[in-house]
Amino acid sequence: MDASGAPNAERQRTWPAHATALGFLISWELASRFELINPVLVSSPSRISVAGWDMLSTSGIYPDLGFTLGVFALSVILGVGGGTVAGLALGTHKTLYQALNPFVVATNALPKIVLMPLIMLWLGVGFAANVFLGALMASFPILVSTFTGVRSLEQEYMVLARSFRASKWTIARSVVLPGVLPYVLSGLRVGVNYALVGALIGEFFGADRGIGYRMNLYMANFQVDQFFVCLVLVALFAVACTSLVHRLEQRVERWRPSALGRSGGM
Amino acid sequence: MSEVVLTVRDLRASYPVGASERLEVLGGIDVSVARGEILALVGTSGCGKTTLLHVLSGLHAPSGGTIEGSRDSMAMVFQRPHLLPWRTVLDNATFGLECRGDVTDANAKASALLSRMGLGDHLADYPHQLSEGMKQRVNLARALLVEPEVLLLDEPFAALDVRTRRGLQEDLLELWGEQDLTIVLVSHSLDDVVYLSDRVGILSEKPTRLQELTEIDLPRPRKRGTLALLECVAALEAKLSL
Repeated sequence: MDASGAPNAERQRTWPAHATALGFLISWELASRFELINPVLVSSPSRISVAGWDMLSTSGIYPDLGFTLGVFALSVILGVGGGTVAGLALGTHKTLYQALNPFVVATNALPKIVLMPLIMLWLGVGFAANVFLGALMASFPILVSTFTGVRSLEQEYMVLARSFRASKWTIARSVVLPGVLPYVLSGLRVGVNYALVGALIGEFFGADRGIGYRMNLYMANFQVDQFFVCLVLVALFAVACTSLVHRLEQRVERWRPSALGRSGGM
Repeated sequence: MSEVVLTVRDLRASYPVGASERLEVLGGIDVSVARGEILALVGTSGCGKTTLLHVLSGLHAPSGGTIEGSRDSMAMVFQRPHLLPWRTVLDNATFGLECRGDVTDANAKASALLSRMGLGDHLADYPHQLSEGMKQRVNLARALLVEPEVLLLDEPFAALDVRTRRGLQEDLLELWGEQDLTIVLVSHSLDDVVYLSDRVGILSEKPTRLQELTEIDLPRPRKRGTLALLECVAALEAKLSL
């Protein structure tokens, strides 16, 4: 058996994406060098690399990175907590679902960004408002996913647990939570990106710190190279978060038949 | 008759139909089960056999009558195995013990029983990796591990092929012989009923009553396909079609 089979298969799977990325970067660089596109407006990979090195070798950007990461982390924690608890509550309590479902549907459909002026009015400009928006945006996909998970849980499992005289706590711990966890993680995959969007939007709206604030500032000053550096950092961070959640999902769902041989994700 | 472990008197049960009406499923069942006995219950589809087991196990509240016998000492084996897909074979087997808060040596007890039932090499497997027969063995092991006095079996062989069904029945009889178990079995298969049970209760149409109790007067161990067994099946079939 070929011991290098797995890495070869991985290379086979990823080379189209790598080739596309490389082709795009080379085309962009050449188009910018030969001024087929305006390098001041769209920059180039080499200019972005130089700007990135300058920014990351000085300490100026790190407090802003730290601020945005802080907003993001707290948004995810609150979003996951709030979304999971609300999803479980709505999924298990019929009356609560009947009472709150119209509000949940309306708020879910509402683009959360329109709430930002109101949130800033209530919480002021800065950290708290940004966390609130980030958590609000992160919580809804998790809520909807958790709710779906509770509703999809086979009633036979509850009947089985009850036949063994399981307490409500045992049913929650041994049946409901493990059954719903894959759905929570599925919501989290979307939720982490929403939390990042929420954190950045909050900083675009009005803040004196953060990566979003910097991106706003760079665009206002026509510092397109620096703007692209921030964009790349945000994109890399988003991909890292999504991959992390995806790995977590694979670990938690290793019991699923489809977990074998599954790879990738968006 | 030896010590009685379960007595049911005028047991009634109903289900809501619409806003205010109720459908009476059990119309007053009277039966006693002795320790170590295998009592089979037969009847037409939908006559309320499963409801009777659900009431006995405490899953459905009776609308009347009495049940004498500790419900805590009963365990139910469902028709479908209902194995929790995220748990391994070992963890599924210990689920009943976990529900009852009795986790001392649960893994060791479960490993020993599962190994005995031929699942020793599959303890770390997940349910989707098992055949239907293996799943049903885990289902049976899960109930046996709580060490019930009375085991309630709700057509556990219905979805199995003949060979697997017979293998599981042999396992069941072996464990029954060793563990002083009392079994209440619901089944559609008269062959299985005659092969396994000491007495057969024939249930009427809804509202269900116990129409007749018949002794299966055949020595154990029984052999399939013998004339005596086939005659018993034929006699039972005749009573059911009346």
